[in-house]
Amino acid sequence: MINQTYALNDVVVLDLTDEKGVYTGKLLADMGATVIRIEPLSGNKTRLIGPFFMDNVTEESSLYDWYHNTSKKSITLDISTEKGIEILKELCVKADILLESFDNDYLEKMGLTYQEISKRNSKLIWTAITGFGKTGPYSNYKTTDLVALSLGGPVASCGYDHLPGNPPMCPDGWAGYYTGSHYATISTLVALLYRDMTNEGQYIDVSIHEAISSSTEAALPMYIYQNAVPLRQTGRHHSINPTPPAIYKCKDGGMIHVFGTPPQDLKRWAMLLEWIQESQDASELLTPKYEEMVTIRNREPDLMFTLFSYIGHLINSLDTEYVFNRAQSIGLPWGLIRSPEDNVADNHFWERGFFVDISRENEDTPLYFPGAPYIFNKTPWRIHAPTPQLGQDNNEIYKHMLNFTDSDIEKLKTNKII
Amino acid sequence: MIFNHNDKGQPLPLSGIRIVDLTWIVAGPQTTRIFADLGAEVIKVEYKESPDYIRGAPPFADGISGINRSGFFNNLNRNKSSLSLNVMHPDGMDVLKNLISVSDILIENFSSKVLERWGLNYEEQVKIKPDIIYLSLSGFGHSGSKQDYTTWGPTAQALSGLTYMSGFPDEYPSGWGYSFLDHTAGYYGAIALLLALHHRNNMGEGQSIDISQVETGMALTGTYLLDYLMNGRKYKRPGNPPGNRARFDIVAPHNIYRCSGEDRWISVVVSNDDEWGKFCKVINRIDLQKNNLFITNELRITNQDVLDKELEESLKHWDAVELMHLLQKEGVSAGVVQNARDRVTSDSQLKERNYFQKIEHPEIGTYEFDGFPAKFSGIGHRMDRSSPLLGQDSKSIISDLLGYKQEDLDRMESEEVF
Repeated sequence: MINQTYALNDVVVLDLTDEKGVYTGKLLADMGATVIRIEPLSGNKTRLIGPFFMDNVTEESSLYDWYHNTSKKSITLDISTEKGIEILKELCVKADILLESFDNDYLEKMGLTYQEISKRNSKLIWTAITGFGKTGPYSNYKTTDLVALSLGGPVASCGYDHLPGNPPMCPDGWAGYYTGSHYATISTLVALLYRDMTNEGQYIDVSIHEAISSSTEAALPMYIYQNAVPLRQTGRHHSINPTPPAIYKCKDGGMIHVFGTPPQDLKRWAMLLEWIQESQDASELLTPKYEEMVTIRNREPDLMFTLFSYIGHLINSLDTEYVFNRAQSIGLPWGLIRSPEDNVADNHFWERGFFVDISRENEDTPLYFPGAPYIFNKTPWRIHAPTPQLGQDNNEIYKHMLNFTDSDIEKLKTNKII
Repeated sequence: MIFNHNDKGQPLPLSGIRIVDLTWIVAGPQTTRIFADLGAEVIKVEYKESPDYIRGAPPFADGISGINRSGFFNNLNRNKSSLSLNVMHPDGMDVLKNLISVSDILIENFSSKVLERWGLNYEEQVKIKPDIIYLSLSGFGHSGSKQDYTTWGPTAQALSGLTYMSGFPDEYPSGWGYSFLDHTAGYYGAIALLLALHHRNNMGEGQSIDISQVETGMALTGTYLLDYLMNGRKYKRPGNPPGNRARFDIVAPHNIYRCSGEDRWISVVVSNDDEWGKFCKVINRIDLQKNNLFITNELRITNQDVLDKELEESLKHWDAVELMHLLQKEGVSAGVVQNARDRVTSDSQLKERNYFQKIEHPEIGTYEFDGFPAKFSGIGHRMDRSSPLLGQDSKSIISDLLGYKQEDLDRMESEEVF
């Protein structure tokens, strides 16, 4: 048995991904895997994605790159050269997992194929993350987060029914690439478990398009079972029939998202009505037909729109935090609409360790980073090291993994291979 | 280790893993759907008096509601078994405990205190099955001052910052048109369980995992959190969210344009001058390429308002699908805003890769299901069983798997334990 503190202590990963798959390596690295970024001499292009620390545009200051490469190591290697590919092959022989997201079979064309390399390392798990998958008519099509979320379905479900033409909207924040990376991580770990049992490696072809297409909730069933395409609606669920607005402004300018309303039991219904009555005369809602919204889940549009207009009035007259806390206190799952930074001020996430100080022991100023997506009681998530500088681990990796000598390394540097 | 195989003869990598699945709605069932597809034995525990809420959610087959007729439920719960069990009855609790004793994983997505009330917190589970892996998915997690708050997908999206990050500046957020975070939290659940299984393979011990749905959303805002933590810059500022334009104004055009036909749109991302030339040629607007206002990427960004007006005017005459293929053949990233109908009926990439597969359901007939978004060289996933009828496997699980005698079964049946 292996003695390990972190779940992936026993795993070495080569990470050649760009923004399409860069998060995959982070998920593995923060759980203890040794993840080695292999970068061109000029650096991975993710180093040029903003925003930048102090707005200083350098290859070491991209906050995007900082976030997505925690706990990794970095080496440089020019894999567009014959020598570079030879070295990459040697690394593959020593590694457990290869992550890559090249377009157009770049590695294969350079002479590195799964078929060949698996003969030298039959335990290797090679995960290829591409826009549309390695086969099929779109396999060479070029993806971007916007295009991925458009073809995959989410954009058709997000938009503005209160604006002319109901424009479809693409959510900001790389959600398409994250979804691809989530499935790449799942698939890689599944292959690792299979390897635990069989000692066999795996080639994995992850399609971002399919990953997103599997993440659109009831949209596919609505078409498959009812031949219906749901209408997108401002800030709320797509729906075959229009539903009342869900986002309401508060007195202090904040916003509340109303959900799970009416509630499913009469106790909470009574508490909601009591609350509404504090701000306005809502005797209309105290009638049996409104009670049927709870008792027999009657969702007649007239009733729903009327109820929500009362709720809107109520929310308009109060402050955001108050509405959020009071709604939650009576079991209504309403949320306040926060901008990402608003969560820094919520103690709850500090209490749980979502934000962590990753400064070194001898540094006085804390360096706070987000964010643990899970809490394990035995094998903790941890940022093991800040994002590596370009090529900072050349000596360590080339010496220890490949037994290169100092002069080997000097020669490779002179020849601009590393 | 003997693996089960799918109908193509590929081994199912999670064969032999048994899961006590206490989850409902979407997030938890998303996690266990992945496990069931890959071969795990997922036993969905419900009670006939309080079945999974999604059994009552549209769309229904043939538009007729019924406990076994929801297409949404069928999609999420394929390849699983169903055990109907009243855990409030001592015999029901006895069955549940016996089931835990022969299982690898227990997963639930109740509010944070429910399992404790049942007397089944992690410490108690360990007494029943020493190496059990316990996963809880809740809104705010099992610690911290807001642990009693409840969320559904849209609430968690609002709180995590994701809702705010979608839409036009100076408008209501357009948010997510469905519970995207139910998928995402489900993916983190799957990743976490796979990590815990790998650790158990190495160390022989289980563990407990606590996932907060809100935090899984916050993990996707990491770059923006760092921008605030490092630079003090808020996402909430003029110009944000950026609509469908590129964040940080990296490239233009980067937008969604209306095409001919009803609700037809195309996303286009032109990332350099070379692509700009090709784009103009494809859309027959060489005049734009020659126009001094748009001659460099910087100028196209500066003059984005004029540029988008020109493109809106031109592209509205195009067929979205035809234009996408023409642009992609020239290496320009473009994608139709596809709704569910497009994905099911006309997406040639999904079709070629056999993404949709049919399964017959004993009550409602044969329907299409979205498959697993990755292909493996040596293992596979299955699509051979529709979602279970409520309680269809109760007797076989209680008697065959757990070894209860016929007389126990009869007694439990008469007391409506299952």
